[in-house]
Amino acid sequence: MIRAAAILAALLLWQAAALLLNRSILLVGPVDVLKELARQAPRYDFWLTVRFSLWRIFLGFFLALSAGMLSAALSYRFKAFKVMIRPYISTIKSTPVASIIILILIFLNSRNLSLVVSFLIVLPVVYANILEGLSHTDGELIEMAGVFHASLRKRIRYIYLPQLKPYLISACTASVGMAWKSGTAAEVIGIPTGSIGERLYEAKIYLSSSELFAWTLVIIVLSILVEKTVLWLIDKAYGLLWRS
Amino acid sequence: MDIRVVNLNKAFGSHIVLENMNLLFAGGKRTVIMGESGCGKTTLLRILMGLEPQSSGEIKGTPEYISAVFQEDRLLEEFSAVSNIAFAADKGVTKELILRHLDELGLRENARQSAGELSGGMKRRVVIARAMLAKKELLLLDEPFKGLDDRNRDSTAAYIKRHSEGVTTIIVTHDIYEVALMEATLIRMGNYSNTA
Repeated sequence: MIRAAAILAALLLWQAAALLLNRSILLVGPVDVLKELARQAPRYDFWLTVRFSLWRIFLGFFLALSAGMLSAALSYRFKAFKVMIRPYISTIKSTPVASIIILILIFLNSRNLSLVVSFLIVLPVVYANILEGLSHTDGELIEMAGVFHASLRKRIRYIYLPQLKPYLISACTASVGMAWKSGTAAEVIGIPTGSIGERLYEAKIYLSSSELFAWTLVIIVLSILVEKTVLWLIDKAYGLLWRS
Repeated sequence: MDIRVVNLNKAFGSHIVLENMNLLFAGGKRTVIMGESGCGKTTLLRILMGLEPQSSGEIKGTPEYISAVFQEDRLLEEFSAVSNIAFAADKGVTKELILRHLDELGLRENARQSAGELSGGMKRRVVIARAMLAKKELLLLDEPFKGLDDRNRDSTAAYIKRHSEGVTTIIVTHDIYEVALMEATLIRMGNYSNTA
């Protein structure tokens, strides 16, 4: 109830500011944004644009999740691997997103730019979280598994995966939003044809604030939907694991 | 096969826990070790399990397959009693066999409950069933009856004896009654040289 009231208050404040300013080039109100969305949504190319960016950013996120988990597991198991991978992870983590985007544009065409950028932004977050989780695995359970000669498959399924759940959730919660922010930023710079970034860029060129805000809202909604879906899938997967 | 502990020493930094210990655990028999808290009983079991290196000395005749009840339960809290036992079970142990063992321990109704939902005494019995169904040539029980009431302690002791016949078994306890209950040879730590 309080949350709904806070959202309503923010929307009213936004609408009031737009009415006071009375310059749609600078600021449009939520009503105009919704009107713009209602105009765009029935068009086929709107959904093609959504699919273009959604697919690439989600794939980048998913690949980073897989690679981050695998490299964290290897780092946990092999100290040499951890030492070897550290400079790459540190470099990716500390390089500005804009520099990463421009560097990738030198080597790749812009079509899959958002995929590569979201992958590179998410990878260190997942790696750090999963490695942290693995390093906090219950030592007593690991000893117990060793005494009973439990196989690696059993150890992963019954000891490591359950203990990783909060770290996996934390990694996903933190990185889905980052993937969308960096992915669409990359699209605005690289302007791949048919992407959300291209639509944002066009909105800027044609000074169409209503379109800019409408696409921004689309990005926010997609980001929330992807995050909720990923968390739901994690929950379901763990539900199956507990019941097994 | 007998297990011989020869001139065993263990120290954590400057703190000496085991000093020049010599023991003989008769193959296929039950031995109870008693002693004051902190006298090194659990450390000895950990050395036998290969979890702790000795400072010096030797242990001869330790087999490959050791099963254990640890001082702590060490259960997979999110998983059922059956899954916990299956985790450590020997090849060929079926779900039906696990259920039969849980039945013997009065836990048939709790077989599907996650370990985290069980009471302390129930957890302890699951831990004991886990140790009994694991492949074992040596059985190490560190305070196995901790948290069990008298009735459950007696029935659990009978269960252990039934399923560890012929297996070299070493039990750590504080309770003299459990020595008689387990029909075992007694070794008091601090006066532990039972062999030359």
